[in-house]
Amino acid sequence: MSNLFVRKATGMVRSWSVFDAFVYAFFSINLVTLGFYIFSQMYYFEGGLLPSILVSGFFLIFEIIVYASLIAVMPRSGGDYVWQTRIFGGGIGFILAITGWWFTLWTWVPLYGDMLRHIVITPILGILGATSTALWFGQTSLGLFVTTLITLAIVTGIVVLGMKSYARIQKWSFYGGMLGLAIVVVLLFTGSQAAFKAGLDKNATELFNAQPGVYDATVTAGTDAGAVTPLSGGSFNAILLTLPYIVFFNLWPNWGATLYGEVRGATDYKRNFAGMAWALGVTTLLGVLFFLGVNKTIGWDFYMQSNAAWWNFQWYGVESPLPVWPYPALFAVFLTNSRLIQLVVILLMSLWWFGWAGTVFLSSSRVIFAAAFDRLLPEKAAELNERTGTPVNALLLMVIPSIIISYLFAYNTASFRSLTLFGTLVIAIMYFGTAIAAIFLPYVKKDLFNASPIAQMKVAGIPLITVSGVIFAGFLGYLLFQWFLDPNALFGIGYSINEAGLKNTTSLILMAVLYGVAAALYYGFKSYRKSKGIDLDKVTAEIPVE
Amino acid sequence: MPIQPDILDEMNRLIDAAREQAILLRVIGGLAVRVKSDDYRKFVTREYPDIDFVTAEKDQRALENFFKEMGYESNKQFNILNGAQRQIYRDPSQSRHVDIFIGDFMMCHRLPMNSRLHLDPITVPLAELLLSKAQIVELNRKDALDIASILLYNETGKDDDNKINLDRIAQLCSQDWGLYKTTSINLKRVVEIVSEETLNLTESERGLIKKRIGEIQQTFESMPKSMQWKMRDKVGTRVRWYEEVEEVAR
Repeated sequence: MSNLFVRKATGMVRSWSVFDAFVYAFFSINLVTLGFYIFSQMYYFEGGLLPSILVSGFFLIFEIIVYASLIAVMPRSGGDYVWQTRIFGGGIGFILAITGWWFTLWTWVPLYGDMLRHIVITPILGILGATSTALWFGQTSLGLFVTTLITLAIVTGIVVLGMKSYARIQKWSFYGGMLGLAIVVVLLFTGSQAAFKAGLDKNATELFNAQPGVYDATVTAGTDAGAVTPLSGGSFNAILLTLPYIVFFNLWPNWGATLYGEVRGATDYKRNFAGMAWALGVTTLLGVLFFLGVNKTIGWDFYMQSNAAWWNFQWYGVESPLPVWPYPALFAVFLTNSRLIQLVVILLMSLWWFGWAGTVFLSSSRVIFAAAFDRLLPEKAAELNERTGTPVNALLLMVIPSIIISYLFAYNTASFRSLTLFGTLVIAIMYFGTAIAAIFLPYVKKDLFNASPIAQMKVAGIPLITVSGVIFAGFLGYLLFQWFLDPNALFGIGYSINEAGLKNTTSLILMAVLYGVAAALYYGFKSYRKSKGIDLDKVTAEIPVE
Repeated sequence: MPIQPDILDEMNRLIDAAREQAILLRVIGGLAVRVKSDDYRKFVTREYPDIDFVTAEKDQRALENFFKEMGYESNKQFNILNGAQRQIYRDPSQSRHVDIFIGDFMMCHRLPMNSRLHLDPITVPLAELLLSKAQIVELNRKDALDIASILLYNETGKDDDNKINLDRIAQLCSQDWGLYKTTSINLKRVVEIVSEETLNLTESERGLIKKRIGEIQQTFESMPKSMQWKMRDKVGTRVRWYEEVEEVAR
């Protein structure tokens, strides 16, 4: 009976398959939500967007190697939090991960809400003939705030359903969303610029009360607003300067890193790598395809001009001839006059939002759990509500501050609308910490590393995880330099050393407050636990159980 | 009544207490095989480190309080992350674990049990008990002997009344080619094992086990097969046909 096996105890089948993890990664670098949103804000760059997504994709391969390796060594719920606390010790890991994976997500909620109104609510209401309601959602601060509350309700509901149901929702959203995108791409590649111009003038007027001649007016308004970003070309330096903006969209193939305690076969480096790399590869390819389709039928210049006109309206109050966000899928369906086809395509495209929305809290919840299991947060933070069976306290810790931040964002109190890149910046700081942890892992945790499946993977005798960690940390270092010092006055999220640049005190103060609160939590709980006889340094020295 | 040192007594204590609270708790795994085997020592004398249960989905939320009352500690981390499908409780005095599957038994293959737990007062139905062992891709000797024990002490039939319900096996295996495949492979392994002379079995006992395996194989031959099943059969084992089961650090 040589074909029999030795098994220690009842095993388990984890909730998510590798395909589920791939879909989560795919939606985390969501072309339609994050991508379309941030491309639209990038109208004033001199580097081409097409080379930009390719160059950023190249650097992000090293991010994927770093994360696939760390997951293979320590496939635990909590991801960055667990790795950093186990490699650096409790303090730095807790502060970086809690700020990056928990507090910062509060600032993402209004962005998810903004995308919900532009991608789902406003286009659908417009097509259904509810023009004034569509414009109320799409243009007003209260409309944005209400949309954010709807976002919170939907996201909470999705997260409460649990991992299995979540996987089902994102799987069907993936199939439906891809069908919608395929239709949009076909429309873009089979249409003509003349047909698009006629379709825009007709539909934007009928559906959204735009004035006749909206196409030409948008060209003028966009040009005046400074739309210059090319499809391709631009100097290498100009392309590099787009990266700190474009990573808002594609820095996240590792977004599921905190969930890998629940993914099957997570100790297999190749599978982890493949899941994230396929997500990045497919998304980059779709991005290229989308850009080419836009160029053919919408016209690249018009696309950028419409973006410039819209954000000039949002940021500076200059009236936009097109009264709604220039949603490329909406532009594509303007190529047909059938309201039914328009509605079906926009509904299918909406699935890109619904399949992705849960990412704002799902990954964070695992970090809160992991910190609570380490007793660095109250145990109650990870408790399930007896009646509903859901982690109500963890959700409240995410939802309530999000409502406050969303209100400030919606009404632009203290310039909160300037914080689009804030969440990206703070999470990049946390990733930087993880990249450093990856560099040192083979030397700090020798036994763990040598027993892991990645121990044999080396480049010129140096562990691959260390080499990749150095490249990824270097890339993040470049991004952080650009965000914080902003020498070319492009990003407006740090303290620009350029005279014309923004010195964003809201961003810097908020960052200081969030890191300060995280540090206070860490040292407060450490001291409290010590008074109860628990040494948290010993807790974070041990690899957590599964 | 406190936690019992004897695992069988403890199993009965938990099932009785659960019944009083209208919780459907049914034992599965090695301990269930022992319950369903007249002479469990015939194959091997073994320790049972854990008690494995299956419960209905409706009872999932009642488990935390129930096991707390019974003197157990929740594996909070595991239960928070996996509690909708699986829960683990620890008996601090005996260093034993209780593992509970919720609704479905999900390992290499899925065995839906939610609507079948009322059929036996102590264990899951015999058909599911047999399949819960036969669905293990990485079958070990203990599992193979458990299958042999179930087959020796329980007759096959067309219902669940102390019988291995062949119709139920046909129903599940005709819906899931993977389950059929793994079960088929493992039944052949069991035939090999019961032929070993070192086993404490008479010739008639060996013959009885092989006869019942033959009946199950005959059931596989005659069960209705969908087009999807037949197409999957053509692909065969070139494509992985089972879920991977991982060890859980408790």
